[in-house]
Amino acid sequence: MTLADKAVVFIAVLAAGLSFYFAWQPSAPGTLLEIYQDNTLYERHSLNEPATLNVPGKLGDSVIEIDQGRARFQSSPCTSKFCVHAGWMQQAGDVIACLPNGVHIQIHGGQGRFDAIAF
Amino acid sequence: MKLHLHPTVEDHRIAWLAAAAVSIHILEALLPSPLPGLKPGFANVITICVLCLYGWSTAAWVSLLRVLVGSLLLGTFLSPTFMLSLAGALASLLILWPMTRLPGRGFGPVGYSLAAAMAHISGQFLLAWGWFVPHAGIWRLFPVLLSFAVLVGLVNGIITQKVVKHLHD
Repeated sequence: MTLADKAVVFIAVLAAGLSFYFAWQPSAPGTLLEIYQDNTLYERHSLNEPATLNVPGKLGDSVIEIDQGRARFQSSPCTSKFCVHAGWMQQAGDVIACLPNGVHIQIHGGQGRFDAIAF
Repeated sequence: MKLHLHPTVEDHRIAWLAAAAVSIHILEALLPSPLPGLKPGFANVITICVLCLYGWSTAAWVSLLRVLVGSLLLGTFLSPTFMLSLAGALASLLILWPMTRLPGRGFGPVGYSLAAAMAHISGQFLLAWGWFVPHAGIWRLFPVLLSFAVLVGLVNGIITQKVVKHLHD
């Protein structure tokens, strides 16, 4: 390797490190929770108002808890409980779904509604 | 009327080297990728070898022919994949040109490969951002892909160095 090569290696490693610093930012906190039942909107709720909502699904009621700008499935009548184990979500774009019960929740922030256009 | 083409030694050389690069390009397309954009780019070992042995313009021919023929064989010609591939190749060639003009001992395969890999991913990102995914969220992917580019740029550079040394001996 020549001296110039070593300079390129140095710059490359520095640039990769800096890119994490500049572009790897935490997501925007969400402000609005949308609750869906069988892919149709069931309810919109602000994340800033604490609430406990019973959402009827195919198997029974899923209980959605909203607290301190976060939301979670407190309980759900499914057997696997993946939705409950997902825990609290608070970033815009986060989604938790209980497929057996057909209920899913999505957190929205201030940004645009779509994030990619596919051809 | 009959058209007579008189390929030079240089033309034959470009064709052979481009064919080698296309083969690697196609084999690489068979590899599964965990993320869109993560590709080792081993075909560029050929490009950098050519750059070191025959100069920038031969390397530019080989690189652009590889993108064109590779896309025709894989069926991605003029698709977004092809556009991204072309943007990457053009960005790489753009950064390599002034690098070959550096006086003194200048750059070796590792420097060329690393700079080209970074230019490649940056060019692709600018195109993807400006055209396909006009959303700031795409930049979150950039650090991951840039780090990967640095890694494969280094690995390809070291491979190229060995190949060039072998060819010289």
